Amino acid sequence: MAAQTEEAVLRSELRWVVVVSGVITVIMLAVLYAGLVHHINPPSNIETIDPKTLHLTGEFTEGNLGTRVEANGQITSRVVATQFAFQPQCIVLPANKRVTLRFATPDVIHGILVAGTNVNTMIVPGYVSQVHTVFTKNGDLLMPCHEYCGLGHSQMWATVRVVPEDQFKPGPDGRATCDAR
Amino acid sequence: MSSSPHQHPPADDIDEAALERALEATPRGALALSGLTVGLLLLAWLLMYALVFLPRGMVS
Repeated sequence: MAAQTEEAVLRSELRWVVVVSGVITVIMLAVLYAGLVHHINPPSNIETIDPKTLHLTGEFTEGNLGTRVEANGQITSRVVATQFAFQPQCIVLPANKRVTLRFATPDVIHGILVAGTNVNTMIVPGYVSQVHTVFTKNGDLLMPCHEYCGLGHSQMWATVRVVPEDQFKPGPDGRATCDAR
Repeated sequence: MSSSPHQHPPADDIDEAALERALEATPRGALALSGLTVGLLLLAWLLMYALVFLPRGMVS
């Protein structure tokens, strides 16, 4: 290959490197903007729990699952993901309020997403997965398991019922369930 | 294993000048094609980001 041709090829390759660097810079800036301005970050909570006893003691016992308004006003929903169901099957949460979702599993790796929102996390045995969000639309949102967890994986889904703030009426113990409405 | 035409001139029908012409023209077409595909990919990514990801709101 003539030196001149070689130089032309090299020049065009360098030009392409500049273009690709520009594309990567644009994407990185967009990711930083989402994280810093809109606070959209991957869930980063690291909290351990014993998967063998989570249904016997502590916050993930059966009576403690579902939505509860804590003493400080914080709204938290606790859900256990098992093969092949969520417990409870339906959680109710108010719209336009910051809510906390907490998940744990006693068996294998699961994952959830809430359709139409950015809520998306893995549920790993031994850890508590936590996501904070604000639901802006009312209605029943589908929350399927999105990590293959066994033969019944496709039947594993729950409902997130988002209701207007004035229709969110927790009981005297602070608990709110889908049936109570 | 590939070998350069310099080492085996008789086995190659393409003469040096034609090879030069072809090599000179190739990057322009490749750049146009890559530019179009990468441009469309970036556009799709930005549309998804602006019209789906950002409106779906805060999660942390």
